[in-house]
Amino acid sequence: MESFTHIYDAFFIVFTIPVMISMIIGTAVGIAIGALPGLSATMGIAVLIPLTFTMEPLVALGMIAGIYNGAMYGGSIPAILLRIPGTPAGIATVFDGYPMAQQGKAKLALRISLTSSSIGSAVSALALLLLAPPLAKVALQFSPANYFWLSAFGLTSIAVLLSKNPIKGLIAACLGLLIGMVGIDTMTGAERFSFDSLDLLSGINIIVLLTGLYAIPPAIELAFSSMKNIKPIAQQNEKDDDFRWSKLIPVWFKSSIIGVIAGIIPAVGGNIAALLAWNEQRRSDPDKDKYGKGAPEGVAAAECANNADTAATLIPALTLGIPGSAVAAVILGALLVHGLLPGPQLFRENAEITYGFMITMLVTSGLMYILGRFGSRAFIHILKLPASLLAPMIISLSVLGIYALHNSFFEVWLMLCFGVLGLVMERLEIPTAPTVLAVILGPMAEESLRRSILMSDGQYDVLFEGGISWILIGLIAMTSLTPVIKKMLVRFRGSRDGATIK
Amino acid sequence: MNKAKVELLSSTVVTIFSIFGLIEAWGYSATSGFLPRIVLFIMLALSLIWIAQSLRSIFKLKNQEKTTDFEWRKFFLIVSSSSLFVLGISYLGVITSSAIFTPLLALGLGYRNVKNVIIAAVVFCTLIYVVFRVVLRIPLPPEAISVLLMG
Repeated sequence: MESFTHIYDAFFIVFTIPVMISMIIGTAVGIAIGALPGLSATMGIAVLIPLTFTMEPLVALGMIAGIYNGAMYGGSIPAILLRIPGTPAGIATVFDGYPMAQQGKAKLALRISLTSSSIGSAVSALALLLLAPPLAKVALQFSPANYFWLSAFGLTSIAVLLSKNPIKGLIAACLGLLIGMVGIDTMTGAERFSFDSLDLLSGINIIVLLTGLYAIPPAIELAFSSMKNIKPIAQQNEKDDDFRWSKLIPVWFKSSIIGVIAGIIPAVGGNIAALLAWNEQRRSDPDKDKYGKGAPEGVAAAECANNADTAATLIPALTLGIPGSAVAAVILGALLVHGLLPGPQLFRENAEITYGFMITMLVTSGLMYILGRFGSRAFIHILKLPASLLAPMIISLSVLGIYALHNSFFEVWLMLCFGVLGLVMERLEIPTAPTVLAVILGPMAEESLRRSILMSDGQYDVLFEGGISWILIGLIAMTSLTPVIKKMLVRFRGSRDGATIK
Repeated sequence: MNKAKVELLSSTVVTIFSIFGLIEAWGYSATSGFLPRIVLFIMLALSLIWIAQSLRSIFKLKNQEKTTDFEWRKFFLIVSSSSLFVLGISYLGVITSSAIFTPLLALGLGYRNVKNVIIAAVVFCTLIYVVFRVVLRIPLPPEAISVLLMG
C-alpha cells in the first residue's frame, strides 16, 4: 500500500515540463544512438552522465530512461534495413526482420518492431514498479555479512558468466576492486594507491571510469570501421492494413515474460533474451519453417524480449545495489552522481525520485512509440551518418563532459587513459563490466566485511552465520563452477556421441 | 603476432602489475592493507594461470590465428589529436578547440566531403555552446579569440 502512495506522489513530479522534455530528448537521442551500428545504450548513457551533473536528479534520470529504452528499439532499424544489428540486443531481429525488408515489407517490419518494443518496455517497467519495492523490503533484513556475500555473488556472477574465459573476467573484477580502493580509506584515513598525488586522494570518480571505458572504445572502433556507402533497403509504398495484429498478442505475452526473467538474472542481457524468445517462438509454432525467412512473429518475439529486459535489469540494481549488466552498472553510476545510493534504503530515503525514475521507464516506452511512429524517416536517415564524422564528436563530447564535472584536466587525461585501457581489454576479450561493477561493489563489500568483523570483536565466524549467507555462498560456488560443469557436459556429450557413432 | 603470443604478453604485463601492486600494498597498515593484499594475491594467481593458458596454447598450436588488423595509423591519429584537443581547451577555449578538432580529425580519418565536415562542425559547436553555456551554465575556460578581439 505504501508503494502505491509513493507511485501516486511520483506521478506528479514526472509529469512536469522539464522532466517531460528530458524524456522526449532522451528517447529521441536513444533511438538515434541505437540506430547507429557500433553505438549502444551503455555508450549513450556514459557520454550523457557528466552532462546531467548539474540537472535535477529526476530530469537527468528521465533522460537516461529515454536513452535506455530508445536505444533498444533503435537497434532494430539497421537490423531490419541493413542486416546489421545496431546494438547487440538486435541480433535476433535480423533473422526475420531483414528477410521481411527484402520481401518489400520493411515498413511493416519496422512497425512490428516498434509496437513490440514499446509493449516489452512497458511490461518491463511495470515489473520493476511491482517487484522492486517488495524485494527492497526483503533486502532491508540483510546483515553486513549478508551484504558482503551479496557483493561477492554479484561480482563473481558477472566476472565468470560474462567472459568466454572466466580467468579474464576475474582479472577484470580484481582491477576494478583496486581502482575502487584508490584514495583515502574512509575507515582508517590511510592513503591507498594514491602515490602522493593530490588528484588521486579523493579516489577515482566512477563517471571518469564509465565514460572512459564505455564512450571512448566505441568511438575509436567507429573510426576504424569501414562502414562506407551502406545503403538501407528502401521502404516501398506498402500497405499493411490487412495485417492481423491480434496474432502477435500471445507472442508479446510469452516474450515479455522471457525478457523480464532474463533481465533479473545477472549477466544474461537483452541479446540472450531476444535469442531465447525467438527460439521459443519458433519451437512453439507448428509452422517452424517460416522462421528466418521473414516471419512477423519472429521480429515481434525478438524485439519484445530485448525491450522487456531493460527495466527488469534494474530490479536487482536498485533494490540490492547489484547491477546485473554493464548498462545497469552505468545507470547505478548515474544514480551515485546525483547522490542516490542504490540499495534498499533508496526506496525509503529517496522514494519520490526512485519511484519517479521507475515511472519514467514506463512513460518513455510510450514516448518511444510516438516518436518511432512519426519520426521513423528521420531515424532512417541517421543510418547515413558517416562514422568518421561521428567519432570525433563522441570523443569531444566525452572530453568536455568530464572536464565540466570538476573543471579538472587530470580527470580528462585519466578518462582518456581508461578509454585506451577499455579498447585494449575489448581487443583481448576481457569484459569491462566486471571492472565497473567491482568499482561500485568493492567499497560496499569492504565496508560490510570490516563492519561485520568489527561488530563480532574480530571473529570471522560471523561471515558464516545465518541462512541467507549460506544461500549466497552456495550461489557463489554454483556460479564459479558453471564453466567447469559446462566443459564436463560438452566432454560427456562428445564421448556419448562418439560412442553412438561407433 | 598471433593471438596466443599477444595473450602471453598481456598476461605477463598483468603479472608484473600485480607484483608491483603487492609491493606497494605491503606497506599499508594491517586494516587498510588487508583487502588490497588479498585482491592482489588473487590477481597474481589469476595472471599466472593466464600465462599457463597462453603457454599451453602456444605449445599445443592453439590460437595461432593472427590478431585482427589493428589500425595503428588511425589509433595514433586519434590519440594525438585528442591530446592536442585537451591541451587546446586550456589555451584556446572549448568552442575554438572543438571547431578545429572535429573537422580535422574527420578529414584525417578519411572523410572527404569538406562541405559536410564544415556543416557538421558548425552544428556541433553551436550545440556545445547551447548545452554547456546556455542550458547547463557550466563555467568553461574563456575563448582565446574573444579575449583577443574584445580585450
